Amino acid sequence: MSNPIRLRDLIRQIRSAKTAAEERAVVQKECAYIRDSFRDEDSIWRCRNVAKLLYIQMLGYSAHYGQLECLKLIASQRFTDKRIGYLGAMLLLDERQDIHVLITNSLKKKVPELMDMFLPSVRSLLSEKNHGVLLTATALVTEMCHKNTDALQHFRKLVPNLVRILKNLIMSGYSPEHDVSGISDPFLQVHLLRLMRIIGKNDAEASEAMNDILAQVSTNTENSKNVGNAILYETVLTIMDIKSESGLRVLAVNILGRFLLNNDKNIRYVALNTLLRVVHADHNAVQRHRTTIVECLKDADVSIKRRAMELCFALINPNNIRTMINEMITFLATCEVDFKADCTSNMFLAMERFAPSKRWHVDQMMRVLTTAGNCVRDDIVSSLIGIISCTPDLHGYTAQQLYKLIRDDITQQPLVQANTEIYLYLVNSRPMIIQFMYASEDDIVNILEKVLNWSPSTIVTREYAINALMKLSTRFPSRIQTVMTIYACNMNLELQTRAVEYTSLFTKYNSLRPSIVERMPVLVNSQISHSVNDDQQQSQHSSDDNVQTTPTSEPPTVDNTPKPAEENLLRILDEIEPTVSNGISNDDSNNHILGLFGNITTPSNSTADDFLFGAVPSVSTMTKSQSNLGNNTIPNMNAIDKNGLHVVFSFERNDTNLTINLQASNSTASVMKNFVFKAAVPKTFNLELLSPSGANIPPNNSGNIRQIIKLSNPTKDRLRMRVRISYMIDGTSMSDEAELNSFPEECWN
Amino acid sequence: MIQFILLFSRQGKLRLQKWYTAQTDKSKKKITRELVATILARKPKMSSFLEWKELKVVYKRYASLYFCCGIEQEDNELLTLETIHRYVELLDKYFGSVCELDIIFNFEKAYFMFDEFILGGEIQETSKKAVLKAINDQDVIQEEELEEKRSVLEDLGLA
Repeated sequence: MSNPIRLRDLIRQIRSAKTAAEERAVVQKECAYIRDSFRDEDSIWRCRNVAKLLYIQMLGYSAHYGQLECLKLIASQRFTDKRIGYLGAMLLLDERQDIHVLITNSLKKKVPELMDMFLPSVRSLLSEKNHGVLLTATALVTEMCHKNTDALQHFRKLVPNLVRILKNLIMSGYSPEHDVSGISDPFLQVHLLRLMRIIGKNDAEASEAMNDILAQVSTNTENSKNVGNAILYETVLTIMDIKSESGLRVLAVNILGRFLLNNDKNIRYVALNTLLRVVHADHNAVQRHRTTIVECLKDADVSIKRRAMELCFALINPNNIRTMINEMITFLATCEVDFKADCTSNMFLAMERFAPSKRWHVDQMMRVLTTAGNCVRDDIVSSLIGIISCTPDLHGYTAQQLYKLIRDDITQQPLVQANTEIYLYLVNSRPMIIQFMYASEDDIVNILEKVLNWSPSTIVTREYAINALMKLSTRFPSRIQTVMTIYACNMNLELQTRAVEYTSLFTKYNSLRPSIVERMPVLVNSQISHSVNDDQQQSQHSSDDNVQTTPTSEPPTVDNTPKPAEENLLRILDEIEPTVSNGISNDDSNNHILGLFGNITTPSNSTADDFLFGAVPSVSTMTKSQSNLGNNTIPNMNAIDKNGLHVVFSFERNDTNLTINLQASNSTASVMKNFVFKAAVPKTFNLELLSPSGANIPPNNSGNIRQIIKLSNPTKDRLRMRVRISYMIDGTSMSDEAELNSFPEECWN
Repeated sequence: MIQFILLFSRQGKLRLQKWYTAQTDKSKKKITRELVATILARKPKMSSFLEWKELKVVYKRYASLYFCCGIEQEDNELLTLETIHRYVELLDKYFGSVCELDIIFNFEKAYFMFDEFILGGEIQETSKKAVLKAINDQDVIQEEELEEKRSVLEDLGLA
């Protein structure tokens, strides 16, 4: 057999191949040759052949037949053979291979079980001068601390040694061997700092011993180059993780603030990441850098932008909500499409928590919707509707604003959906709204028809529209019946089904129609009423309530319908009258607006389903129900508050039926995945768990999961509950069980 | 610790790969393919870091070569950039202003350099001098063996 070609020649041949097919041919020919050579037990060229195989394997070709040859090379006497043999063993073998097991068995010691033997020798290793020894000893200690808490306890004694090594490093003069841009051995410094973090965590004494050196490193490290910042970054992480002094923590956050101003995008990136981790522990310190963080929203790098956005939301509080929402709307207008849905959802959450006034809230929500265009999640639309429907004194204003927005542009689906839904609710239930909109009823039907007929509309939007139209059928029966007939043969199954049903409502069941298209009940948005946390907000809220309760005594005073429209209004009321009077034993003054209000209040008082309050639109009933609610308010309960998971129960009770609104939030820096909540109650109760609003709880309290628990308690027993939660965080699964005995007494008594 | 290091060209050709955790062949190929595609698609104004599955990925381009490290959550990204830079410096010292071709034709040397610098995903020697000396010592042994072999052949009159 002729001498094989040399490795470099093979590489050259492969590289000169013009096409992939040509390359394949060269490789296949060579592989065939190498295999033959292996079969012949050719030990002279084995080393060269294995080296060639390594190159071929890197190109993506299979080279498993070289595995055994590596073992033979390792067993060879020649150094060159051994060198290539070990390299080949590292590259060619993987876990599945039996040969791998052979090699590892020959090397493996049961290190974890022998850990005790290493403990005493570590101290002497740490007093070595050689950086390689120090570095690997530090790595060894770190690994042992991870593996075993006894070891961690043992190494707490070594803190002074670590401090001394680090001190020597930063005090030492120039050492060309280890310095990187004037910083002495950054690799060793970072490893020491990390080990200090592990040892100092949850240990006041060890942390105390580190304070000085950490302050020294923070102030003395030169920060003009990446390498200095790498050390500062590690120092900050350590300061934040151990039980360090508060002054030191502020210093650490300020280092991060300085990072944000750095030209290097990598440094800005780690700063934002770290700030996100610490924002909840050191909120005020981070708050001071808000303007810098807001500036990062303009960064060219999307990953920096995203983190800045998350951080901005974590920083919103009642004091800065107005400025922050303005900033976020500016961001929303220019940011990438991928950000918009998250951004709007978070803005809505923040506004629900901190809105200074309802009017402002509604205004901002509409601004958000117009700015975000179609990139808005579905729940946002219903949240908006929920808030508007709970705010009767803003109905006129809202309707007018929304109408203005939709009149010229129906391309923004979420806005259109919200709009349609608002019409559905407002126009039908509070006819005088139309006056506020400076539009005729025809205009509104025209728009709804336009929305329905506009083919680029999403199906959901069109479903909203067809329902809204049907609702208006009390006033335009013939016109709307025509629309329904047309849609009865629409291509879309949902629209068609709806249209067919509605058509038969017009024909076969016309007598039922008015009561079926009765006005909508007010949407109960549990979040609004329960998400208020701090005192300032509380007072804000109660003043809002006052505004709503004042008119109770005299409903007509809130009716600020423009005088000239009164006649018109009465006409509308007359038209709508059959709907209203349906099922009500009314006898007088139907033609009088005040009388109408009077009538409407009757059914709501007598309805059994009281919690669907506001089934009737008049302000008087609204407020009445709300004040009812106020009287029955059951205090919220913190069901679980553990490991950053916060579960709050809020209650709504109707005699023996109790509805618990569960709200779970997450104050850790990582998302909690697959959150599952289970509950059990004593036999006398009946429990129904509705499906949760999601499975993942976003980090940093930036969102929550809601779930409704329905309980019936016919015997009015004391409520006890056994709950079990489970979720995944950072790849580990957590589960917990608890017995809840401290339910507020109002829940059953 | 560093979980893996990949070197690849701007054309997406893999030049070196070093795995410090056990992976099947299939998953190695998958990770390489995905990361090469992701990193090549990134714009220059983006940061050198990305979050990828449970790992942080740090990469840096030197001339036509990308150096890419997969590190764990508690590792320091900024320091990893220094680690990459140190490796490049070592290659530069060894080859004398290193270029992609040096690494292609002497890939085994580049691997040896890794093994002297990083062990099991952790840096084992922070002195450039010590790393280069170890490599040179081994090269000398190889040279001597080669000389020996040549002289044996010469003695037999085969050279």
